[in-house]
Amino acid sequence: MLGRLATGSEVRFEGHVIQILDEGNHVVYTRIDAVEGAKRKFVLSKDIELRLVPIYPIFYPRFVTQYILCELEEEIVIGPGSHTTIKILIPIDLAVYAYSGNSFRILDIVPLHRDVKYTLYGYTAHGYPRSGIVARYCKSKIVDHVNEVRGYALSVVTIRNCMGKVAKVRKMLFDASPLRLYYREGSWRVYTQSITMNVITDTSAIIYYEKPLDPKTVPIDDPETLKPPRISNRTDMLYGY
Amino acid sequence: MYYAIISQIASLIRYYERYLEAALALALGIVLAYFVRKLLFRQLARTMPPHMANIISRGVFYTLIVIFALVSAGIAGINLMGLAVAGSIAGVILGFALQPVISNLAAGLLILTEKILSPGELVEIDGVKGIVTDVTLFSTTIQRMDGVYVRYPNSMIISTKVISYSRSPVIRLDFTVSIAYREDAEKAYEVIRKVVESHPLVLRDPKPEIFVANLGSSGVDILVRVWVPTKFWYDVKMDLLWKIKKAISDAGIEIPFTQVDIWFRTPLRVESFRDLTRGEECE
Repeated sequence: MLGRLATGSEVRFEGHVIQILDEGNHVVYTRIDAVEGAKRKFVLSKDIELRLVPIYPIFYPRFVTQYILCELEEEIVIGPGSHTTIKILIPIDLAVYAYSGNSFRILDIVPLHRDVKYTLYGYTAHGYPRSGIVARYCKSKIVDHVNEVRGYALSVVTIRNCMGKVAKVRKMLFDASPLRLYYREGSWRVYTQSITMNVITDTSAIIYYEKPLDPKTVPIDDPETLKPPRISNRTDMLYGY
Repeated sequence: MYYAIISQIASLIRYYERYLEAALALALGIVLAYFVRKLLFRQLARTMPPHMANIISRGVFYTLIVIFALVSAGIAGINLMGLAVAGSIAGVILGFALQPVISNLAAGLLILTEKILSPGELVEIDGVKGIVTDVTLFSTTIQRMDGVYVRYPNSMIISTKVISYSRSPVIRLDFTVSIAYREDAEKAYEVIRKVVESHPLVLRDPKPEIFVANLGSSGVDILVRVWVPTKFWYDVKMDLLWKIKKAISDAGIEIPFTQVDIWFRTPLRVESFRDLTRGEECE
């Protein structure tokens, strides 16, 4: 379950076994990954508090980009000037944070999705990319419930068609910096903020990140490189949706 | 007594008045130039890289210092006409002597303003591949892939071919895999495709391409083209070809080596002799 990892506890999920052992002067954190046959081990001082929290799916197997491109399993078709609201699942991984007072750092990334792929979100001419960004690619399911699904964050997206013609939406680009993850302690429940996507032209749309979905949830502490921007809380999709 | 001292000081001040005025003007000019430099740097750094903003603001600073020095010299009563003539002659001489330096300076300004190169960029200059570590007004330094630093005069950068690998977010890597003629090419395709698709750093879009590129002298050459994030091209280059080779070998597909059949025009005569030193018979 998400939240504090107490000393002496053991957590098992998705092929991972996490053990926190008290060894007298210090605490030993061990994670055994049965799928990859890997073992991560840290020796920690006793003042360190460990927390298992959700994290953006951009750190495993290594940090490549902060953008996440979600391709919806079904296309959304919206009439001119109209809007619709959908619930989608965005894949997430888990992170073990080491806290001491107000200071923290990510100790370990626990992958929940192994088949990681990246893609170019950009403009391609004659098979050759001209511009764009590299994004973590993922397939997103549209769901009709708000139940917890381990390994996924639930996001409520309102899509507005600001054009004078019918729009078809298949992709959404999220930036891990303004996107925030919220979780409920003692469960696997993870949410994002509520999101609005304004379709502006045939090829461009703007994603706005708004208020948290569930007030009972707590936000994760973003790593330094992904601190939300102070001014602009949006992502511009310039190469289609 | 005091009156005499004060009158002495007053006469000294009167005598050196213009020099004091000149010194004051120069001091004020330096202070003003300092603040202009700071302000300019702060403004420029918002719209351009800091090293570029620093070069421009420093240039403005020194220009202002020269102007104030000339004004101060005028106030002090120094004949600027003679200075101008001497300066012109010195300028011509220096112009000839410092021609390479000036051409590097001009090239450096062009590189910086046109953003031809910037620190952190992976480039190939005159056949040498490396990361740009520093771009100054006179030279550009790159760190070669083996860690050695190479400094190029900026005039050479302008006149030579510069290949930049970092301008695009993605880069294409090509691998040629050869399989024996008797092997099933469809099976080889499938094996390679699985390896390529399972590699996280091989981009999903633009799609990887796998096709027969050549019917070689020893085998069928299959070309594998993949797009990868530019920052990670070396990791993929190191990793992917080995994974493809391993998968092909595991699938029992033969990778051919170069074979040469030799025909002799005349019948081949084979002589047998005894190696006296080793006491063995060789054929």
